[in-house]
Amino acid sequence: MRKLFTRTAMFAALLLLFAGCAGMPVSQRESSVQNLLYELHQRDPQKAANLTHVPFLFDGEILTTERDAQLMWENLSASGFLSDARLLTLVPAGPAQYTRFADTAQVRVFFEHSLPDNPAFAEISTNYGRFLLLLSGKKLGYPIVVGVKGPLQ
Amino acid sequence: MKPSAHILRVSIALVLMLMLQSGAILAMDAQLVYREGRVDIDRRGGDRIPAYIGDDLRGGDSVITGLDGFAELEQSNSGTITVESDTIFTIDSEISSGRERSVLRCTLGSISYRFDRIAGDREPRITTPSAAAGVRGTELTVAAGEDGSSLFVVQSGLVDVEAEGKTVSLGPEEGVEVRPGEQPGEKFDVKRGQIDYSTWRQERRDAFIDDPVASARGLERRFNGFVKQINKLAPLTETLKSELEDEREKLLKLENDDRKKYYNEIVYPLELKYHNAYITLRYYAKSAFSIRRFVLGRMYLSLNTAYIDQAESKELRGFLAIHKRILNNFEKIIIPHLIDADMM
Repeated sequence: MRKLFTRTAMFAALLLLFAGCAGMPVSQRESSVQNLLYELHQRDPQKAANLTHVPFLFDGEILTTERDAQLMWENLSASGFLSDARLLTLVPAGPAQYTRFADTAQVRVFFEHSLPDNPAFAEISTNYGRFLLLLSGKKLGYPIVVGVKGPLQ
Repeated sequence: MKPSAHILRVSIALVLMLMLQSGAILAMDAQLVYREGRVDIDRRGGDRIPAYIGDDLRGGDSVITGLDGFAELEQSNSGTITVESDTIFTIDSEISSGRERSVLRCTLGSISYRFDRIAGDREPRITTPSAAAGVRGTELTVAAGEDGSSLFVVQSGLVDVEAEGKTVSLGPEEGVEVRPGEQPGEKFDVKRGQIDYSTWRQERRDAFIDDPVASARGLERRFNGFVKQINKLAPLTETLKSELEDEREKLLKLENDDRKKYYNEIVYPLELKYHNAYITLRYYAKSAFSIRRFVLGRMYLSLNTAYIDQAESKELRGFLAIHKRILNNFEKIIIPHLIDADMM
């Protein structure tokens, strides 16, 4: 009887764990974000650009072309930007929090109208200081980069 | 005419005016007739969607091509536009001699225009971040570089390229380069197929990286040109708006023929004046916005990521000081004349 109770309890715990994972968006799962950081570092800039939403934010700028995404990862990869990147915090994001990127009209409009599903703020540490990533959605099992800001003061 | 019919006519005129003000009716339509690779349409109002053959484009819409993208558009009234890879192209409008005229804006990348039926003052105006061109029965290619420079090359017809108060007239197989914030350079002869636009774009990219401060200064001069125009026109537009509101109130107190006469003689001409001033003001604001978002935005990204390990470098500091000045002017002077849909 005790064995049956233990098994049932373990099964229920596993079920809850899976249910929790299934319900949590990829962009808000720590393991997925860590995998994304690894992928962005390992991949060539074009492939990293494929994991970047267009349009995307860079500080207070809104970049609208595929070439912008490629250019960003070409330069960041060349500097080893993500070679020692560590995830510090991961929290859901919302339209009202646009000032975390820039307190400007165009960033407000971007957050209000162009934010893809399940946005999250990931703060990371890099060799060049702390950066804020805006993540969202899902592509090939990874969150997509919607914004990069930093280094944070 | 019965008073109710006249009120209806006035109301329709007002609704049309509001629609024009909101950009719902604009002069030019085009249709996507061919595409390759990644091609998106950025609708005025924010929706960015993959483009398909047969899609219509209206005033305020942009075509944005990817690194492998290519698109061909046909305009209902004049000709064909070819949009090359990594290009941002927008259809817009302005008021010229009291009439609405199409503006084809190439902000980044390269575009070829071939116009078939152009007459009188209905020809479109072609703009880049550094210059504007009036065309007459023309086939030409326009390229806009990452440093804000432009290149105009005419295959057939005539083109007047204007920047910073100087106009250069180009005939067939002639071209001219315009640096941001400067007058057009000397025109040069060019044979068909002689210019490799991707090489020219790479040269302009390298020029920006070599001297980002000089490029940003040029762009700032061009941007400030629009700021100056807005500062001149905004008070006039406000005065016209206020006069129009007063006259409309007076109109409502009149009846029958008196009302009709007052509308035709006083209110309607004032509505036209206000409409023209408003559209022109919006044109300047959207031109400044285009420079700020697409050209300055790429410059900022390019430099900040390239200099990530040299945050104290003279080039980066110099660029950021100019960037900050442009942004301050943008928030203070341009934003009040834009609506959210312009910024999506």
